[in-house]
Amino acid sequence: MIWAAPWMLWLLPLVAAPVLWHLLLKPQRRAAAFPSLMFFLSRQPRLEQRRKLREWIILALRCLLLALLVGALAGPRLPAVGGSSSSGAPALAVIVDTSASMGLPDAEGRPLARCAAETAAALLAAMPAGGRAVIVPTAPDPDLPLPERTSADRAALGAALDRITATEAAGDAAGAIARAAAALADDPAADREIRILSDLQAGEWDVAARLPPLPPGVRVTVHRLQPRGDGAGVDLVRVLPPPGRCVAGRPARLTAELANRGRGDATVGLRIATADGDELRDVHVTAGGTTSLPVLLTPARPGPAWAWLSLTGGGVAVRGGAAVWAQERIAVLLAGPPAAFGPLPLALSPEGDGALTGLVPMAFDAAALPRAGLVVATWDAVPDVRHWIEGGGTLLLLPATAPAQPPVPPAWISLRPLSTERFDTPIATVPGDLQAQCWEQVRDAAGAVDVRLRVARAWPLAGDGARTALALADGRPLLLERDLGKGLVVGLGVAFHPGWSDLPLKGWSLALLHGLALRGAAATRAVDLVAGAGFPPAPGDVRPVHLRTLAGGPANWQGPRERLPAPVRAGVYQLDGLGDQPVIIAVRAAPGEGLLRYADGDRARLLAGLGARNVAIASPAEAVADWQQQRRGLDLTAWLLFTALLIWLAEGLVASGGRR
Amino acid sequence: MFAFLPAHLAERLDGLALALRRPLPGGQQGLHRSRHHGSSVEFADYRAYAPGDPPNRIDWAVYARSDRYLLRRTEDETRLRAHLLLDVSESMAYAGKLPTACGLAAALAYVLVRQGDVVELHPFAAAPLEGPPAAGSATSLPPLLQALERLTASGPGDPAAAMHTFAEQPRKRGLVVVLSDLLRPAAEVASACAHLNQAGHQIALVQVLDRDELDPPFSGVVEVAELETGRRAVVEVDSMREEYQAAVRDHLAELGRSAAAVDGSHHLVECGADIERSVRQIVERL
Repeated sequence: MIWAAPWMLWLLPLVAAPVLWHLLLKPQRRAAAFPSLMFFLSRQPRLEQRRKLREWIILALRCLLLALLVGALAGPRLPAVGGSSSSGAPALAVIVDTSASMGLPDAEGRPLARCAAETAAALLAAMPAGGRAVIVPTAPDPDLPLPERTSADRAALGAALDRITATEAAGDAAGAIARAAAALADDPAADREIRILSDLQAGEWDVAARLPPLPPGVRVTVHRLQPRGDGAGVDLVRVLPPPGRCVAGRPARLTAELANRGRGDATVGLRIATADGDELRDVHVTAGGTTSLPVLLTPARPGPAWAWLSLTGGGVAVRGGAAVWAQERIAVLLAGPPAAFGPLPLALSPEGDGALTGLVPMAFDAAALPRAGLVVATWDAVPDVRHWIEGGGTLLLLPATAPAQPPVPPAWISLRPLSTERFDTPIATVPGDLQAQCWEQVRDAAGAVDVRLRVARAWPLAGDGARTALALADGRPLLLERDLGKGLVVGLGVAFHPGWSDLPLKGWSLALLHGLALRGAAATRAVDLVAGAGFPPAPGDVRPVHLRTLAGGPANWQGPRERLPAPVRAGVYQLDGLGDQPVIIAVRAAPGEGLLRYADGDRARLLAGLGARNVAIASPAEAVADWQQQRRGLDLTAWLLFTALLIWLAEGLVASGGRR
Repeated sequence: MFAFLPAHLAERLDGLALALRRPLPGGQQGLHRSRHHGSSVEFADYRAYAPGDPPNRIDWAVYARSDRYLLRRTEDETRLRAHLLLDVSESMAYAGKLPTACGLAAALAYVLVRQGDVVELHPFAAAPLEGPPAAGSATSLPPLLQALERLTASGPGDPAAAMHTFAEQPRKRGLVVVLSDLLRPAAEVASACAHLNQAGHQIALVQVLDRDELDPPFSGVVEVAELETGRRAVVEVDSMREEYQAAVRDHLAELGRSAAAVDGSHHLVECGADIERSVRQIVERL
């Protein structure tokens, strides 16, 4: 309770005046002679009780009347919930929701984030002299540094608010509340308040989270900003990178996955922008369903290449980048004499320099392993590449074209040919496990694998823990693969020669070879992130890095690696400083931001327990008026006077009732 | 010149006559019917002759027809004896209650004596007091009127007890007029009325009250002292005025029912009321 004139409370003993008057100074009763008391005494007991009761009621009413009048003279004001005295400069923490959903327009067509920023600016403008404020975005923008503590520099804060826009991140509401609470905890002001300007999207606010306790006396007020209309609720869930290495000049297939989180089927436009141009597709996504779309990206040159995807017609602007790191060439090392491999080198690179395929066949050289995508060896000449394979390499073993007896390969291979089989009439093989990794590039768009083969000579294989990708009609394996560390060992029972089978004539054999050559995790310099999601923490890593935009949201940040911020806008970024080559970062909009479901301010689980008031506003001025009202508290003088008037009337009514 | 019967009042009362609704015994001929079978010419009934009966009352014509000795009985016209029971307790001293009651008594006595009836005055307080001789003629009325002028109100009173005492006394049946404020429980008064009725009297209750007693003249908290007993009570008149008036109304109604139950009448006369008009109303309802 706040008193404008607390010294008036010294008059409170006056409240006892009616009691003293009643007990000590009550007027002398008049005496009167009367013929008989009979008619008085016949009803006296009940009337006496009523009289005494009425006397005490009147006494109580008069005492209450005096108390109310004294209270009114003292000018009481009721502070807001959790508030304390408003005397002195206030401290205000304004949480501005900058998540992607705040990019939707309000009833007047302005982005909600802009409305929030203008409201925050109005609150700053209305702040009394000496007041301090802190602006806390739910998705901190690396390009918009804001002080973490309260500041009295309203000009700087206002300038920052002018630049606030909606990001494409989900926003960390709980983190924002925690930062706001921490900022106010460090502020000595007695009048401290957190104002939240948000659309209260359910995915961010109606979630359970453990919040640190608010500093004592901190009020929380929520202004919910309502978007106009509705959205389809379609999200770009993710963009899958190509399954293997990417080579300059060779198309890489990415996969975009869209999910419809809305209540009805939706058709949205997917715009794909690459270096080759823009493409716009209409994509139909059923309610609650997902759709995958192939996206072909052909890097023109070695280095980074990206595709820029954006959804239109889905309500919230959902965008995302997909990046690959294209290598100039990938070496395929042949361990053995070239004649042993037949036309296989031609299948890898018809012209020999990889101009068409990006693959360069060359004689095995251990020093070339780091640049190699595949090592091809005959069963009788297996090089010692075990560690390379365990690190992610791929080894293909096959018989030499010259007839010979099946050798015994090294034990770590775990695959071995068993015998030599000859067929007067070539026989057909049967496919084995179609999910084998070696078929990755052989599958068509529908995931089917057509791998027919006729064999005249073969070495049936055996292997412990190996997957059979292809087999003779009697079930004996002809193509086996097994994992070795991060790598893959593939064993083939026929030589790449027409004398053994029609394998060199099969188109899928090229896909198989190229797939094995491109397989691997060579694209380590391309990272896929969600807007707002941070990089892996690197405490103590003070290497200077530079984050800049290649496509999409603007970003230009320099600093130590350990403080590298997460991009909050979809785009393709280049991070320099972590090696001799840059890292390409593709950032897509946070999933779920397209789902336009909102929490009621009073029911948002995140706000439960904070004692937050939910105050609807139609303009920044209303937020300012509410804040000033909160600071002033509720003036109770009029209420006390009104109540005193009622008490006075009641006292008169009771007293007159006794005189009737 | 009498204080309670000025000449102008007596003059206005000259034409007033009092008649009872039921017959009463009377020693002398008068205006009132009596159940006493005497020698008047108005036939009542027959009864068998008993030794000792005067032979001249035997109806010989009936004997000739029936060969039986029957005595012819007649209803005599009797002379009424009226008893004025006048309350002189201290409560009658309030305002002008006693003078009003005395004025009524004097007027009633005058009317009765003028029509040949006998009037007895019986002042009482807590117990019957000595009254003047009965007045049955114009010459015996002045002592009664003078006695009224000497009366003063004092001491406690009990109208019901006085009525009981009167009923127990061997008196000739007649009209009993109780002039009192009757500030006793109605049940006691009803019991006394029944007692008087049992003794053969006709009863008229003339209740004299001041207007203040119908509506207390004070307000606020008042310490009320009862005149006769000195008892005191603190009352907030304003808060209980309605209750008080209701109690008075109940009391008056109960007295009316008590009087009616014994074929009597109840009359309320306020202090200062016109005596002639009040007496006329009383006489008309007897």
